[in-house]
Amino acid sequence: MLFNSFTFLVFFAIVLLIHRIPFSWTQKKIHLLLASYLFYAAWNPPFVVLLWISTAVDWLVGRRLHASDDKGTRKRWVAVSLAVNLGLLGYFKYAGFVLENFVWLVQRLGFDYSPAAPNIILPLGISFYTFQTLSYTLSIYRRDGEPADSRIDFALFVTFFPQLVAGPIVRATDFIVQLATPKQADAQQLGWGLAMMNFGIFQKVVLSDTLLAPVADKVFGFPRIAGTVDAWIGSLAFSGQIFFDFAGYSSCAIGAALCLGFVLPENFRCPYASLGFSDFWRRWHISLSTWLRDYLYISMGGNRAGAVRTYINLAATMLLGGLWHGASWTFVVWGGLHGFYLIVERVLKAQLGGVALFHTAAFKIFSYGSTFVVVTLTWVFFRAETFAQATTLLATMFANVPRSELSSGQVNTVLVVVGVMLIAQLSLRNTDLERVFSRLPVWVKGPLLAFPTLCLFAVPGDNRAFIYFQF
Amino acid sequence: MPSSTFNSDPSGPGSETGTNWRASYVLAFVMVVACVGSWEGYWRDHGFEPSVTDDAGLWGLARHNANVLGEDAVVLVGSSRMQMDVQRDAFAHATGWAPAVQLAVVRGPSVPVLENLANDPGFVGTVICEVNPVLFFADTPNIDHMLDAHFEAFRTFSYGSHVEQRLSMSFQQRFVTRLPDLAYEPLRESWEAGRLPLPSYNAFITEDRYRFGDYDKFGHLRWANKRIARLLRNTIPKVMPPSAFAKRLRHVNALVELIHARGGDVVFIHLPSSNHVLKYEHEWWGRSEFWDKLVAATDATTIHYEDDPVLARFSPPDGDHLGRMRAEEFSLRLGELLVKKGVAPGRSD
Repeated sequence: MLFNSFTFLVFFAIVLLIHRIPFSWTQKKIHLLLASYLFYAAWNPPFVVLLWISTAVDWLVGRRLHASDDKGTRKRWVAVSLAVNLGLLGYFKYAGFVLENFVWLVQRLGFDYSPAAPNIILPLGISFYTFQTLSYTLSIYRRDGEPADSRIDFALFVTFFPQLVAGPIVRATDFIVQLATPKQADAQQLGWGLAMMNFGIFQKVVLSDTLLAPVADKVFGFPRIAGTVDAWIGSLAFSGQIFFDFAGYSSCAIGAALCLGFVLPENFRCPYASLGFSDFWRRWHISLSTWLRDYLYISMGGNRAGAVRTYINLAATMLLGGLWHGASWTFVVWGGLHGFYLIVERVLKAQLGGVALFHTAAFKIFSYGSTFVVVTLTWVFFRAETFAQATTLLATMFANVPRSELSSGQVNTVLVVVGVMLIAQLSLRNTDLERVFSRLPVWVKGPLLAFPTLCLFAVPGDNRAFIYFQF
Repeated sequence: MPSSTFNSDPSGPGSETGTNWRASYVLAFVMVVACVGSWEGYWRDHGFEPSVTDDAGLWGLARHNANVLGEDAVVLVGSSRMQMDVQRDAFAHATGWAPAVQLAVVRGPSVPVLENLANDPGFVGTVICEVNPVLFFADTPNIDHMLDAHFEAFRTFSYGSHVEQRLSMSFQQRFVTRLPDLAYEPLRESWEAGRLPLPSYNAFITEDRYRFGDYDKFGHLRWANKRIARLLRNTIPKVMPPSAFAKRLRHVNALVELIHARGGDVVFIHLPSSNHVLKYEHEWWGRSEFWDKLVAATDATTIHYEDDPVLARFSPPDGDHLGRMRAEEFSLRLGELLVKKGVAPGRSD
């Protein structure tokens, strides 16, 4: 079920209504659990079984890990959790990719081997809920967390519908504790939760799908080489599209949870107003980057074993982070490039951090701009169908190809939307939207709440799925 | 516990106080109602009427129904001619079949849809397949991919998408602002061109994807025909070369055999064209070189409107599509011809 669908509107209204009926807290949790399964099953009912497998295995593993003091036994149990969760993820997400590369290799070695492509459907949100349940068993294994007391609580942690299919990736210790006492949104939470959903759907349907996606799709779908201006505009459009798409989803998820009385972690914090790449990763898809930091980077040794090892750990984390996004070499390159930027930034900071020039306002402005431009250029690998398409488009951006197939209206639309987005993010960099919004007078708040709804009415969209659903 | 970014302290979302939410939402609601009402009224005043949107989701639902109906399924495949010329109730009345599932798409090619039906073991019905020479005998591989989103909508069809489609339609049928003609992109283009969008004479679509042509709404028919005639005169189409045509015939035959093997049936039909469109078709896709060769090569029943004195009397005003009343009549006559040819059972009364 998509947040930007009529079905979700009806579904959510019913869930919210039932949640506010004075049932017992256990009954309310069962209701939320069933609603979450229905939410997932609306896409493809049989795949609910995968959720049940993940839930059952990690519930069992969590309890066994907690009960045992034997190092070997604990290792075996955590291996079970890793094998089942990553095994499912590996099969559904990477089997085709592995086979494709294996066939390529074998054919290069001169063997005539052409198996049929596997017809595997990627279960919605598997990358997200796999990481979420893994954080539960890994934290118990590290003695950082306690197992859940109730099966319902644990199942709801795995399945809670607002964040089930595209995050934010919630930690068990942050969510399960909220299930201990009855939750119902107060007026402030309900008001702001609905506003967040309104703003989120507006970002997705109007800004991303209607204004930016058609331009990005056109440029990345050109059958021949794009012109220089088109290549830049297409890349800028995708930069905005992916932000509004994913930040819009996260906003809806956090808002929907808040309407039910639950608090989910922030996932985006004005990422295009970043001063450098480490700052960018503290602001973009925060729940994934902190997961990778805590369970991958630190597990590999983090920065505890010298500079070279730190760089290797950073590169490996970002490469795997890239691969998490999709089974394609373009994602690996995208992750690898971000790893490279983080390493270069770290080296430069270590070598030149004390130079006065780097603390001037002019350098700060340069940093904002250059970070955004480099991030935008790197998105080309993320969006392109093939490595060759990405490199051709990038080459065109720095050549002089005068041809243009975009209309002036499309170019202006992208420049205005992306420009306003950058100004808004720079303005909100050190604060948050809720704080700013709460200080506005009612006569400003009303129109601000009405405007996204009006735009949604005027945009007969085709209910595009969120980009991150494919991950 | 490894540090997550989450912090359940009071500064989480929903913790800022001081907002009078009730007043804010009441004001927002009033503004939304006022603006939507004005916007609706404005476009209705300009002749627009609400209608179901003919998108991939609606096609996916119709395609799903084609399988659900089993052996009783009769599907119409083709372009806007098929969508407008053959009308549901009249055709069902004349043929004695269940109401046909409309799978034709504006500017849509027939072969990919025939392929989709033939390769699906779940489909065991009858296909009425339009042969529009401009699409059937043209070498335009990109057109063959224009329905990919439609096939994807069918492949991923679920009860969830069924519910969503129904809810979307109920909105589309009530608000003109849900019309694709009034979406951002067409409005921007109209604005750039310095004119208002005009209601289309064939924009009304039923829930089961039939389209009605209303020539009373077509204020500049003669002018439009002249413009299209000039455009066609200056257009050199990509006519299929003989090798590609032979390959297409083999492919189409294979698809027909697959449907026949499952107990289904296929009828190829050339629907009426007139004036500049007819001239264009005759000029580039001579009957003896294309249609007659298809007839000779296929086991399927074939109908060319020119061969039947009754059907030959129908002349589309815009060269391509019949108006609603004429389409009703055409559907009856076509149905009767199918009965005469032994394809359809005919009325039981």
